[in-house]
Formats: sequence, structure tokens, C-alpha cells
Amino acid sequence: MAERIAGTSHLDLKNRPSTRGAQLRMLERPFKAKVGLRGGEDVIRAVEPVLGFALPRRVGETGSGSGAHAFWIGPDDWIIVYEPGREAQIAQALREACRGLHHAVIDLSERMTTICLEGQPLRDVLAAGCPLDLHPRAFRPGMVLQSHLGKANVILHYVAGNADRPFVDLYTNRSFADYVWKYLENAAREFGYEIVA
Amino acid sequence: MLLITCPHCGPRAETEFRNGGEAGIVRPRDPAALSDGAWTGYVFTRQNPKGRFHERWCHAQGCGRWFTAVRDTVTDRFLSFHPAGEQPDEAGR
Ligand SMILES: [Zn+2]
Repeated sequence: MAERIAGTSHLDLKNRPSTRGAQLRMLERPFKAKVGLRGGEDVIRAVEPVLGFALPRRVGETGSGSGAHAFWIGPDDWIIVYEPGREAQIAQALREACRGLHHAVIDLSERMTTICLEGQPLRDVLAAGCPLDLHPRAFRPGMVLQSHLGKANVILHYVAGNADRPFVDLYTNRSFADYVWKYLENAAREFGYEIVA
Repeated sequence: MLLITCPHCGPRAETEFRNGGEAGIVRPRDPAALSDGAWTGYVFTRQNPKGRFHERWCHAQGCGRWFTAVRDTVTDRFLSFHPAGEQPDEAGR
């Protein structure tokens, strides 16, 4: 396999300064496995035994099990996320399950990157460029929503935590990593941020 | 900012959407048989009503789906939203 280069590699995050009094922690996890899946009810029935959990059927919902999360992207459209390294194996297993059905299974791992955010000011920081209702009442742990941050498409996954210490994984196209990272730094300046690399 | 209700995602900010112009334009079955005038009509001529207008929207920075909305062009108020394949009735509902 060719050498994999993170979307923010040119920003040299290891040596990039954090601010004082950091309330927000940010890091990039560039190589999570992401597999796109599209299909109808027959595809859902075929892949659920392979995944070992039910696919989400409505906006905001996720399905989870054995280290994976499935994000609802559209009415017949999902992204399944795993820890790095299993993408080829997962995609192959899904393709075999869907043989003969009208479907699409696409390895998106190189197309998208993940920026992980943690800390109390997270909602305010995201609200600097994202029009979603991010109030704790509307955006809750376990949810996933698509929108934009500034001009960039983003998927926000509220992984865990509570209103005081939320963890959100932001997925965006790898080529937007520079734009999104700097946008977040700029928005987080007033709260302080710590870069973890 | 307008709030637009995607049939799949619910109410979202206008900035997540792209407008696709008038809804219900049917592509001619046999374009080669059309006169230049009729083809021009299909490609370019659109209503520009003052009031109720059926138009297409795409939830571009959301679920990516196209749908139809009925909007009052005077007040900018949306009257109804319909997923692809569902037509608004004469009253725009
Ligand atoms: Zn939508």
C-alpha cells in the first residue's frame, strides 16, 4: 500500500502551538476506515447479519456494534466507520453479502478525514460556521448530522460525553482538512485550544 | 435566513440547500422532433409567478436529495414540501 499522508500533515500539528487556558482539545484521526453503502430494503436485509447491528433508518440516527458505527446519510445511503485497517475486509464482506442486488459499496477511507473535538466550548466553536441546532436538547450523544462548516461539507458525530464535556468527531473531505482545521482554530481562539498530535 | 424543511431531514438552514428552479418540467420524449421554438421553451422558458410557485430544491449539504417545495414568492413563506415522486396538489399542498 502507498504511504498514507494525513490531510493536515503540512500543518505539522506536533509543533503547532496551542493557546493558553485551553478548553477545547482537537486532533486529527486521518485514517479511520469509512465504507459507503447504498441500497434498498433487500440490501439492508443482506448486510445487517454481516454488520451484526441494525442500520439507522432516520436522520440523526446511528447504528453501532463491535467497534463500528453506521451513519444515516440519506434514505438509502450510509457510511460505516471502523477503526483504521479493516476497510478492505469490511468492503469485501459487504460486497459479497450484496451479490446480485442493486447496491453500491465504496471504500471512502482516503476521501474523508476525521477531526476529533472535545470540551465544553465545542458547540460554540462549531456554531461559528455551522447552522445546525447544536443545543444539547437537539444535538445529543449518539447522534450524527450532516451540514456545513463555513463552505465545507461536514458530518458531525456526537460520540459521547455530556453537555459539560462533549466529544464530537467531525468528518470532512480530506482536501478540506486545512480549511476546516484553521476555521476551527480561529473559532476556538477565544476559548483556548490544545492541539493533540 | 429561510428555514427549509427537507422531507428527510426536517427543518434546516437555507445555506444547506441549492435551488433547482421550477418543478414539474417534463423532458420531451422525442427532442429531435421538436421545433427550435418548442425546444427553446423546454430549455429556457419558465414561469415567474407573483405568489405560489412550485420549485425544486436539493439538500446539497445534507442528505443530498432533491424534493419539491411550494413557496409564495411575495412573502417567501413555504407552503409545503414533497419528496421526489410526490406532486403538490392544485392548492399547493
Ligand atoms: Zn435532507
